[in-house]
This record gives sequence, C-alpha cells and structure tokens, in this order.
Amino acid sequence: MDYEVLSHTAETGIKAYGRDLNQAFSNAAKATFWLLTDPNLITPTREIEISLQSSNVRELLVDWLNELLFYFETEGLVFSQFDVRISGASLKASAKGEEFKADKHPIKTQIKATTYHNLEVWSNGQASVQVYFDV
Amino acid sequence: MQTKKIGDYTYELAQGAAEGMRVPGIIYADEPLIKKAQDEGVLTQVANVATLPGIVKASFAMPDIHLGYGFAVGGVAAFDAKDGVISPGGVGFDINCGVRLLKTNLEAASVKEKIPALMHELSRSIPKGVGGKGRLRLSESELAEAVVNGVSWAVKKGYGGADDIEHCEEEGTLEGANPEKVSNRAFQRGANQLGTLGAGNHFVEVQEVDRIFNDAAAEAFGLFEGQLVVMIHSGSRGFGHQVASDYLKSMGQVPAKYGFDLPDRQLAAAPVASPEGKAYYAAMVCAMNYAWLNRHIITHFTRLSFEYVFRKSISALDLDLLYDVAHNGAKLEKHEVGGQVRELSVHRKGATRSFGPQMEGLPKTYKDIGQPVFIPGDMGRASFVLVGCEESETQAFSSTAHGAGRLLSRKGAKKIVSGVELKARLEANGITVVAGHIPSLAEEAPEAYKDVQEVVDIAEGAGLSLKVAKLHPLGVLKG
Repeated sequence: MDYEVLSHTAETGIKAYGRDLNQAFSNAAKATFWLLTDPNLITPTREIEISLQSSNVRELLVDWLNELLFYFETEGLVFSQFDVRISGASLKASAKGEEFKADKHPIKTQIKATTYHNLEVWSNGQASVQVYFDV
Repeated sequence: MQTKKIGDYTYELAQGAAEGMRVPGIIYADEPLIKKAQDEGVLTQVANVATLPGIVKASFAMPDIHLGYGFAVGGVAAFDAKDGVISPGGVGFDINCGVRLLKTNLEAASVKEKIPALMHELSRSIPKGVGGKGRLRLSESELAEAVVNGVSWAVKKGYGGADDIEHCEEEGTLEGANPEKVSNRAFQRGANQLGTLGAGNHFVEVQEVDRIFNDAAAEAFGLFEGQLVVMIHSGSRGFGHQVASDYLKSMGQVPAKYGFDLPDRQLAAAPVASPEGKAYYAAMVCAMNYAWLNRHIITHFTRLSFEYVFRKSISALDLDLLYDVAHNGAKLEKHEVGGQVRELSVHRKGATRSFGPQMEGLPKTYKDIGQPVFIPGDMGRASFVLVGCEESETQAFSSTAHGAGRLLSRKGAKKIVSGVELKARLEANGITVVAGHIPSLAEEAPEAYKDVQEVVDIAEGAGLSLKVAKLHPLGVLKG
C-alpha cells in the first residue's frame, strides 16, 4: 500500500508509506493529489523542480505538501508523479503533471492548508509519514 | 478527561485536569454534547489552550465544539495584551471566515417559482469551487491598498454603499493592517480570488424567515415571517490560508525564544507585544479585511443577480445588509475581568462575537438591542439569527457558537448518501441546489451535521445569545 486516507469528524489526513523517506514523501504527495482529484486523469506533460530547506524533517513534510498546493493554486498545476531526494532537513524534488482543467480534473476536496496536527515521520528500515489537512 | 457540571449548560474542566493548565476549561453543552466531546478527545484541545501564557479566566468552548487543529473548533480564549500571546493556530487557516445576511422586501411564498432561476443566475455570477477566479483583477499594489482599507475601499470603487460599511463587524475594516507583513505568496494566491466563494462548507443560501422568536429584535433587524433573505458564508480564501501557513511556520521556534512550551505544534504562538506577535497581527488584520471585502464583493454580485431575475432595482428590492460577523479571528477588545477593564487579545476559532446592548462598536441601529449573530445550520434543515445579550459579557467575553458542528467525517457522510441522491432529496423538499461538484455535495449532507437547533438552544440556555429568527433554505449554492 502506498498511502491511506485518515478521516475523523472534521479531520482529513493521510498516511503514506515507502521503503525510505524519499518514497514516503513521494507517496504523501500522490495521496494529497488523490484527495484533490483523480490522479489517473493527470497526464504528466509538465515538470517542475522544487528545492526546500526546513528546520527538521517533520517541518519539511509540511513545507513540501504546502509547496505543491501553492503551485496548484497559483500556477494551476496538478501533479501525479514525484521524484524526491531528501538529505537531512532539505529536499530536492521534481513533480510531473499538467495544467488543471475543471472539465478534465473533477475536484474532490478543497485543501486549504497542511497542518502540524498529529504530524508524524517514521523512518526505521521502512518509512512512513502522517499529515492532516485543513479542508 | 472528566468535567464537572457547574450550571444548567455549563461544564468545568478543572485546572488540574492536564499538566500546565493556567486556567480551567469551561464548556457550554448539554449531557449528550459533553459526552460526545469527551469521547472525541476534544477536551484535550480545550486543556492545551489553557496552558498558553497570559490566558485570562478560562479556555472556553461554545456549544458547537468539535475537534479542530490546535484550538478546538468552537474555542474562545482571551490573552492579556501586555503579557499574553497571540496564536495563528488559535485563529486558524480561514482567517475571518464569517457569515452575513442580506434582507429583501420579498415574500418568499410569492416568488418561489423564481428561486431556480435565481440560483442559476447566482451560480453564473459568483465564482465558486476550487480554482474559481474572481471577476476583479487587482494588481499587487491595488490589493495592498484594498486589504488596508477593507470594505470602504470597495465602496469607493462603486461596489455597495455606506450602509454596507455601517452594518458590518468593525465596519468591514479592522485597524492595524500592514501589507508589508504579508508574503508575496499570499498576494499571489489572493490576487484573483477576491469575490469568490471557495469550496467546502462555504455557500450562498436563499432562505425564508420561518419563525420569529423575539419581536423587538426582529423589528430592529428588519426581519418578518415569510421574508426572503440571503445568507453568505465565506472567508479570506487563499490569501488568509497563506498568511496562516506563513506565520505557523515562522513561529515554530518562537515559544522557545520567549521561554514557554507548547503541548501542540499547531498552537504556535508569540507574545502579543513581541515583534513576531505584532507582525502576525498586522498580517492577520490584512486577511480579516480581505475576508470582509470578499463577502462584500459576493454581495455585490448577489444584488445584481436579484436585479436581473426580479427585474427590479436593488433599492426597490431593499437588498440591505443586516449584518456581517467574523467567526475566526483574534481581536483586541476591552473586557471587564475581576472588576478591572483589561485589553485582551480575544481569539475566536469557530465562535462569533455576541455583544449585548450598549457595547461599544455596535452600529447605532442595534445599540439598544444588541449585535446580530448568524448561526448557519445544514443545507436541509435551518439556520438561525440570534442577538447578543448582557449576560454574554459575564460568560465567555461576549461570544457564542458559529454553526452546527460536524457529526460525521466527510468520508463517513459520502458512505451514507451520494451527491446525486442528496440533490434529488433536497429538491423534492423544495430546496434548489446548485453545486460546483455534485459528488462533493454529500460531504455537506444534513446528516453529517448536528441539528443546529440543539446548538442555539444551548447557547440561549447558557446566556451566550438569544434566539431571534429561524430561517429555512429555499436555494443553496455550494462551491
């Protein structure tokens, strides 16, 4: 399983898994766009590069997902493929996707922001991350 | 966590219930509600807020309390302006999410057949949903000017009139805005979203006044049974979300700098009087003003839709603003505490200011009766108009509830009903529904929410606010 959606009353969150943090962060991004729309409908024709530096790896997870949501809201881009390389509390990544089209990409959930609520990053052999969104 | 019943609708969470609590928690609830709060774990959030420096009296929770992020939704906390804190987590992401009510002189019964056409026209003229772009295109410098001057900026540009300023909390412009404290990212997100509804629980509803409970207040507010009114619920859109995210991030290390610990990272806070606290306040005020402007511009297009559908002018339809309330914010207010008037940073997260008669800051038309409060319910049942009362000031710094509060998760709601079924059911009950995305409509199904009637009954029983009118939906526009 790459990711699962965590849902409780007013909360919506995701838990993503991977063989390492790179893959878990990549799956967390996939889960985020799964919440937003149907990733199967996103044709990866455009690629952007992202470079982030945070104070620790937990904050990095919030910054990473907020960065992608910022691209969605300001540049109108939706993504389905991610390549993430994490080193300490910094990240370099590429994200592939295309321009959002309302008739092609039905929106499932509006995500206002990524929160620090019950934020978890586990890395011990396998890796997993957990994050909640304000929707 | 155990609570003690200390009044008919008041429960206390003792100061010793969790480590570090500086004041007790006070929850306004009835038996089933307090049990639900206990089961949900939301009392931990009430206790966490009670640990923040400079908190005065208690960490309060309104009758629509439910689990939130950092603060509980329905949380009210006031911090001393000299030695207390201000918390972006205590305001939340949708800064100045709020509700307004527009009146008309129309009898709902005589215009019912025009509601579908009206909803269609509203849907055409008010951008909604994710990615909805506003009709106003502002440069960054224009937007900076707009968020400093709030609703009065829009009135000068020809949107609405002076009455819209008078009948808005803070007259639609909170002082202390500094756009230099707002990131470029917030301006980028906000530039094309002014006058847009957004998605989620935001809506424009055409409603009928079903029942009047308080004749004097209804008369002062200009409400009568059978009247057609319009309720608008939206916030500061991406502009506010970005301000919140920016300051939550930058305040990560601030508590350590000022020597206090946080039980939850999401409660990020800074002393009100510190450079970090002042910077957040100045940026938050910009977002508060953005939200009032946003609802004001939506109002403008709502009025144009009415003109078009009813073939009458705005003034012939008396499309006046009754009032506009914020339900997410941190405002500097003066309140009496222990016989002393103190300046406090009053955080309301999913809670509404509820000033009783004669409170400073009320429009003169409502000075003798108290402040109007709007409590939206779900799209199938009802919403309420309340009024602030004198007793409210002795409770939670003149605050009351803000909505029905969720009962089911969004996922849970979708398991019970589909968007298509829900739309058909509502339409069979005479409610026209227009939504940006029909499957998502199910997330906002009536059964996903508590009955708002219970919330307003507790609010009245606890002396937070009094019932004035019950409204029922005739047309719903969702993002």
